[in-house]
Amino acid sequence: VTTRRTFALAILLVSHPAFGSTPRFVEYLYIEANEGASSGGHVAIRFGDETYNFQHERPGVIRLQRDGSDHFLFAYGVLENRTVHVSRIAVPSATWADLRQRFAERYLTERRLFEERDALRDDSTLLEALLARRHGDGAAAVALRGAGYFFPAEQALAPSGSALALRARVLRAYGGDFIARRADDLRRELARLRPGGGPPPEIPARGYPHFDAPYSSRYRDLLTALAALEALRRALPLRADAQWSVGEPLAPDEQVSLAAFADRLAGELTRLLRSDRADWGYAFLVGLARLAALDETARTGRLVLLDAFPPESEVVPWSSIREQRDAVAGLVTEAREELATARGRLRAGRPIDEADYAGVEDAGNRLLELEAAVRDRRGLRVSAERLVPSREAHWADLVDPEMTDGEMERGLRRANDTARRFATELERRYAYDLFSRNCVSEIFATVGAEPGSLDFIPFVSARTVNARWPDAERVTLPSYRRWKLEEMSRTAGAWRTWLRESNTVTSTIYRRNPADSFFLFFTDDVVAVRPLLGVVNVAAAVGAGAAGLALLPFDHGRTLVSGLRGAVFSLPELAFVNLRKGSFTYVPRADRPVDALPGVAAAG
Amino acid sequence: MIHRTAVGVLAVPLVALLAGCSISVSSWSLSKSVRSSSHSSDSSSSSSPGAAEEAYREDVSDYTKAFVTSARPGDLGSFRADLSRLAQEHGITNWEENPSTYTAIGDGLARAGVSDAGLLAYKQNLSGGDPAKADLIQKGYDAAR
Repeated sequence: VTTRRTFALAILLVSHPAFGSTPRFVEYLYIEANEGASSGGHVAIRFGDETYNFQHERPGVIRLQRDGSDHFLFAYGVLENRTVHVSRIAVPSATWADLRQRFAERYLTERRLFEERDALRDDSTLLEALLARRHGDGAAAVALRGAGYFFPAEQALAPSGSALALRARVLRAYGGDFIARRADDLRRELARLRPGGGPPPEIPARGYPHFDAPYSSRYRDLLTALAALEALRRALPLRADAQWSVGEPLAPDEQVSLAAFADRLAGELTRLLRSDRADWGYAFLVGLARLAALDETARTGRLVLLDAFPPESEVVPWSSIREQRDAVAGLVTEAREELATARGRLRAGRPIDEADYAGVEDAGNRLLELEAAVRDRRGLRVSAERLVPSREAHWADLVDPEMTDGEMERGLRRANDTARRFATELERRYAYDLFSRNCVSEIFATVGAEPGSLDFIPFVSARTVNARWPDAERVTLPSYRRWKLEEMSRTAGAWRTWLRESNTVTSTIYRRNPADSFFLFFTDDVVAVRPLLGVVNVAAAVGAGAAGLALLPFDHGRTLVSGLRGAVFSLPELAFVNLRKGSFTYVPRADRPVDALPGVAAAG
Repeated sequence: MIHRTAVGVLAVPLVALLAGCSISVSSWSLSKSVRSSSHSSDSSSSSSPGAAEEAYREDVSDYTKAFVTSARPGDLGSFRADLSRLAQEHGITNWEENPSTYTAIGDGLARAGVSDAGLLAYKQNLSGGDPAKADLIQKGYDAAR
């Protein structure tokens, strides 16, 4: 049974006492519970800078996520305020690389499968739009990524100088009728394009999947290329609402660096027009827009950037921003630091490339968005992903396919059926199950080991790992609040600190977070008096719930729900079990426990 | 009746105790304003400058290996399409002009155990006739062998 509970592959190699090369650490992370959806605790596996963990998502599927390790610990240990127990297992470099590759490959595979699901759904959307267009619906349009930097074209503006120069360069290189010829080719290809008539794509049992490009992807790629050629042909200027500028002037060496990059970019865009990539149109539109932004940067001496936030960005409402002004001020400071770091590349004395420029663009956009949200008293767009310019335009000039209405309607029915069947099969394959397919079981499965009967519970799985590798280095990273308590206790005395910080009313570490349920006493750092404090917490939460009834017409039930949730999550405290620990929306960078993680930070 | 209700109320946190794997992300929203959660971005708080480029190379290499060793062979068009999406996660739209793309492809081909003859075919097809790109693929391949 013990053998079954082990990481099979690691056993093989760890059992050799002498490593052939310098050992590296695979780290199994058990994250203690907090209230709500994280009440059962969580587990993750870390390989140096990357941390992988499986999360339960809608609609009932479990998916592998990958985060930067520093971000993962910040999110769980600091913001979520959860203690993380790390088991650091030394393995030979070859084993480390093999295990990491398994997770990386699974991550890439899952990502591709879910992209395919979305693309197949898009087939239906496109065919509906094409049919509607054919039947006289002038509003029928297709969203094209990247086209939003130029379209709808602003007629009042003069042609773009950078686009005029690029157009001249392209025509010199490929002939005076190049743009017209290429556009004609694209229109013909678009008209001939037909939806696939075969069976739904199969999801392979293992390995990276290969799918033929769905109809909508091919159509969109071609139409985007057509939009790119149109922007170049007309030398369209950048839309005023698609760009913004950092107030601070650029240093002379930064300007030189950006001007050199603009020259390089013009050459790259010229070559891109001859690329074999199906999606060259999107890359060209972004490049053309960046070229215009760089031109404006050179003219003004200030950093002009594309608005790089994706159209589907999450928005933190203004009401939340208003309530957290201190946090936002801190975030603005951090965003300035990030931009200063990114701008360092412009002064490094070497030519910059797209990755360098994209780093400046990402950091600049985040700073500008924070400043704009505060200034304009509006919601704040945020993104956990790298910002890549992707502003969309709704393109109504659709090329009518050479198909009869009947063929298109049959194509639509087939597309609906294919998308539904693929999604159903995918969701069946990745279905979440509390006992058999959860964050623990999937880590074990990816490593190639079979979990024990109770290992589906995160903290049991951590014990299993520790039992199998008694020599593994164990590191406990205390939650942010507990780390602060230890810090304060050293300087201000343990009892005094505990008395002040034991409750949500007088605590200086914790500030009431609307995401937390109602409670009075923290119980994660005490055991003996936990039931007693739990009784107080339950009573207080019930009281808050009662007050919430009275406040129902005024606060839309927020206090009532907070009180009821508070009572529910205080009940385990009566049995010495702590779930809720409070959480934080923001912790200043200078106040984060970076020094508490030396062993882990050095890992990998 | 009262007993049943009490058991029901107590059961809620007990079930919650077992229900792991989900996370509460509402607290994270503001933190997402400053930087991405990915390891593929250099940051002022990052302990390893250049991590972004390294992360891109690793991803392209992993992807190449996964693509090449897949049970059902894929065509070059789908290789390029998937590579485009992957590169965009790293903030790169014009991956054809990034030298790291080609060294990482070479690295992935070597790790996938592609033969010299296979390498030649990939070099011809992916370099677009540019000897510098073909050399970069070869360089990545040789370094990983």
